[in-house]
Parts: sequence; structure tokens; C-alpha cells
Amino acid sequence: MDTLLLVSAISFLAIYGSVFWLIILLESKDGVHEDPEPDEYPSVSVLIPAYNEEDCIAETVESALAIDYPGRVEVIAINDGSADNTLEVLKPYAERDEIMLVDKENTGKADSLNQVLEDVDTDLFASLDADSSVKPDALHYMVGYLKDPKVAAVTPSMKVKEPDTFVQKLQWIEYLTSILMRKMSAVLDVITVTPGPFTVYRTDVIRDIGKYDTDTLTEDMEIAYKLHNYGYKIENSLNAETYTYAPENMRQLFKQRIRWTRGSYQNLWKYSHMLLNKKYGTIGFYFLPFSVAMIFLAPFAFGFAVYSLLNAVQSWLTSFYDALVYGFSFDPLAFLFTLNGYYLTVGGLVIAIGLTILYASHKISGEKIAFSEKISYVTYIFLYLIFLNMMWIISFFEETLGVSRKW
Amino acid sequence: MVKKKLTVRHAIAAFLITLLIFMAGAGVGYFVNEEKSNYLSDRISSARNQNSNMQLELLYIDVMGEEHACSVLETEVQETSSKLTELGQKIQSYQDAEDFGTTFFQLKDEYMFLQIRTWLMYEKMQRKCDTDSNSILYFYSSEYCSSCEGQGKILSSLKKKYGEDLLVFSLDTEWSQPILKAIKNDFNVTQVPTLIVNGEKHSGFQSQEEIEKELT
Repeated sequence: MDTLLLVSAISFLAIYGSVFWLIILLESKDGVHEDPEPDEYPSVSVLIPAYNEEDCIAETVESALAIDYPGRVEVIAINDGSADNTLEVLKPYAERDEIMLVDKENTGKADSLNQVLEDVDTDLFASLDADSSVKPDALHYMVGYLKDPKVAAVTPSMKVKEPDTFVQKLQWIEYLTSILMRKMSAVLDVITVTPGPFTVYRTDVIRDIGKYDTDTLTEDMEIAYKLHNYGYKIENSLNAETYTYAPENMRQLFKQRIRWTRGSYQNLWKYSHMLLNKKYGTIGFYFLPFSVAMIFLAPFAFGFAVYSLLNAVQSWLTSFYDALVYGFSFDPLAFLFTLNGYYLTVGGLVIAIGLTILYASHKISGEKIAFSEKISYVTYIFLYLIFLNMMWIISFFEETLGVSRKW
Repeated sequence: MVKKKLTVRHAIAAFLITLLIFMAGAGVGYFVNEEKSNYLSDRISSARNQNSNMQLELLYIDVMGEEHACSVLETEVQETSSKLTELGQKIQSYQDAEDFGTTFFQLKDEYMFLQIRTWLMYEKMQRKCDTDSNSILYFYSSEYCSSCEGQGKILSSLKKKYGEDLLVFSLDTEWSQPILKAIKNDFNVTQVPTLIVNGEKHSGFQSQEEIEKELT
């Protein structure tokens, strides 16, 4: 009975969170694909910081050049002291006057962007990670949001580019749920990341608030927090699609996620004054405190859900094994006796909510459920989500113990 | 463009739906518990009936001094014991699922009493009638015993092999009634699992072959 109460209390918050997003989804699902029509087309610079990206930089630049937009678009490629042939790949574009090329010492992505932002003369600018490409019509869908002077950034709908390996296919699913969550967050004004692959910002606002931070591990998260801190809003367009290459194996993915989660802790710490602060509205008073609680409780709730599921499978397998080895009759009624009705029902409903969210993610991002990838989906539900939870735990210890890593 | 202001209404709705999920769990849990309890109490009451038959038959043998009732009694004891063995497995898996209803311990009490009663009648019958069945008195723990699961399986498998010719009486040493203490003392049971095979004590885990050596 004690275990039961403890488990219920811990899972309550986790389930509450999922139900909450589901309500927001049901309430707002009809209008999510409508973007406001732009009245005018402000000028835009597309900043492409590149460090050792000789393999994909050409693709990225081509996609930026192909942007279909009535206003002025300036493509600025920044070679951040690459050791490979990135510069050589970029030179022909500069010679043809298609792009502006900045060649500088290696100082990191955030500082590269900051240096170039000094000289940018356009009303807006977009960051475009060198491993990503943007759809030609994306910008068109995004600028309408900036009619509202309080909106300082518009995020895109980001998908995994050419998912090939198993690990990339898992991320393909994950990114679809992120698309859903980002839009739902936009509905409530609680977006906390402005992704590197093609977020559009107001140039003057970013200059005013001190541009990118060079100390945190995730500058695209820091700048989002900073915008909230100064009272600006961040929007999202589902129609603005960008594609990015995802880590292809577990080792790379692990490194990436540790960087992201440690970056999240750094930003939560840096902006902890926003927590439970009425002044910061929904994000400060509800969203951030809830996120923090979830970070610590979700692993327990999730671990328990998986544990009880494995338990059921194990006892089923045992009775099956006994039937084979000892020749017991496999009695389905006896099997029922080994199940706990309470856990089974709550667990079943949680899985139903999870599947609804997964389905909605596909629907909202205009992708079909890839029935040929059954194993990816099963792995995603039962193992990948645990992996993500573990990242929060591992990086919590790394961050508190001050473990230094080479990124 | 959709915009929503987060309102208390959202928070309350999410809270209520979440509560509903847990209540559905509790409801189904309760229903499953009831079903389990009904299942157990049905079988226990049928075993109880057989038990009083056996009592009557023993009395008959006592009074009439004749052994015509012996074969009837023997069948009765064998049947009841087999039923109780099967029931014992269900009770154990019930307990493993950690899903107790309020009636569970009551049912388990009654089951244990019946088990002991049947065993005693079997012993008495052995003295009065001439039978050649085997008996195993099995002491186990429903909580602190890692090898009991395997031992239980071996006994179930023997039971399946020997059928009515083998009577297994399983006693949970965690049970706190005085009668069990008395039995444990008499057989000097100090560890689980312990098996009394045809009156012969074997402490610790016994393999199927070791037990079979003792059976006739």
C-alpha cells in the first residue's frame, strides 16, 4: 500500500503535465497551421556560422540562396577558423557575389554571430546552423508574426534531414513531438529554445539585450530565456520547415544531449530569478517551476512505469516457460491473478495519452506514421524516452560536480 | 494564429482528468480484487464442505470401527488436498501482485486453517486405514525466501506427475497463528524451504530427484 501511494503521488505530476498539454492541444488544434499574413517584407540577413563543415556547408548555403522572399535577403557565411576546406567551399559563392563571406579566427558559434551582428544592417536576421537547410517558403510564413512589436523571435518547424541510421530514425520521431510541443508552447508563450536552424530575430532587439551569451553551452536556449527576461515573446510557425542532420550514432547523440541538458541547467540557474515570479507571467510562475519539478520526478514515474510493464512481461514469460519446462497447463486465469488492476489501468491510460501525443505530433507536422519502422517506434517508447530521462540525471551530476568536457 | 492565456480553468481541468485516471485505476483495481476474492472464497467454501465431510467420515470410522469408509475418505482427502494445492498457488500469485483487498487476509487465514485441518485428517486416516499415498509437508515463506519459488515449482511438477497419489500441504511460515508455531516446533523447522517427505525431514532446497527417491 505504501509503494502504491508513493508511486501514485510521483506519477501524478507527470501525468498531470501530459494531460495539461493534451487539453491545450484539443483547444487550439484548429488554428495552429494559420500564420499571420505579413503587411510588409522587412530585410533579412541569414547568418551561417560554420566550423569544420566542408561536407554540408554547400547544401546549407544553397538552401539559403533559394529562399523565396519579396524583401531583401542577404546571406552571410562565417568561417569560424575551420581547419578543413570549409573556406574553399565558400569562396566561389563569395566570388560570384551571391554571399558575403566573413573569415575569422575560431572563437565559437555565439561569438561569431555576435561579431557579425555588429555590422548587420537588416531589420531582421536569421541564424542558420551549417548542418541544416531551410525550405524556400519558410521565411514568408515567419515574418507575419513580427507585426506584433512584442514578438522578437520566430521559431521554425524542425525535422531530421535524411534519417538513415537507427539512431537518426529515433530522433526523427522525437523531433516531430518537439514540433508539437514547440507549437503548444508558443500558444502559451513559453518557448525556451530558439533553434539554431533558422530562427528569425529582430536585429535591434538582439543588439539591445546584449546579443548571444558566450558562456553557456546552449546559446540558442540562453537567448530565448533572455528574451523572456526582457519581456519579449517568441513565436512559432508550423509551415516554416527546416531540416537538420541529426547525430548518427549513440556516442554522438549522448554528447549532444549532455550538452543540451547541461546547458538547460546552466540557463535555469542563470535565470532562476524568473522562477515562481509573478512578474514573468505564465513562463516564470507556472512553466519553469513545473519543468524543474518534472526533471526530477519524471525519471521516477517513468522508471516505475517501465518496471511494472517489464514485471508483467516477466511473469507472463515465466508462466509460459513453466508451461514448457514443467508441463503446467498455461492457465490464462492464473495469469490474471498475477496482475495488479490498479497499476495496469493507470499504466494503460498513460500509454494511451502518450500514443495520442505521438499521433498528434505526426498529424501536426504533416508526416505519416512510418509503419515500416515499427521497431523504431517501440524503441522510442520503451527505451529512447528512458535514455532522455537519464541524460537529465547524468548531466545534473556532471554540472554539480563541475565535470569538464570537450564539446 | 492561436493564442491561449493559461487560466485556472486549464489547471483545474487537467487536475480533474488526472484524478479521473487514478480513480479509474482504483475502480478497476477494486473490481479485480472483488473478482479475485470471489474466486478464492468460492473455492475455499467448497473445500470447507469437503472438510466437514471428511470429519464426518472419520467419526464414522471411529464409531463403527469398520473400514468401509476408508476408501471414500481417501478419495475425499486426495481431492481436497489437490484443490488446496492449486488454490495455494493462486493465493501466492495474488500476494505477489501486491494487490490486496480487505478480504485477502481473511481468505488466507481460512485457507491456512483448511490446509492444516486436511493434513491432520490425512494423518489420522493413515493411522486408521491402510493407504499407500505419499505426503509432503512443505514449509515456505511468502516473503523472505528466494529459493521457494523454484521449490514450489518442483512440487507442482511432482504433483502433476503423481496426481492423487501425492498430497502436498504447503504452510506459509509468515502466518502468525499459534497452531503453526506448534507444528514448526514439533518438526523443529528453522529454515525455509523445509520439506517433510513421508515423515522424513529435509531442510533447504531439494531437487526433484532427491524428493522422488523418498516417494513410493
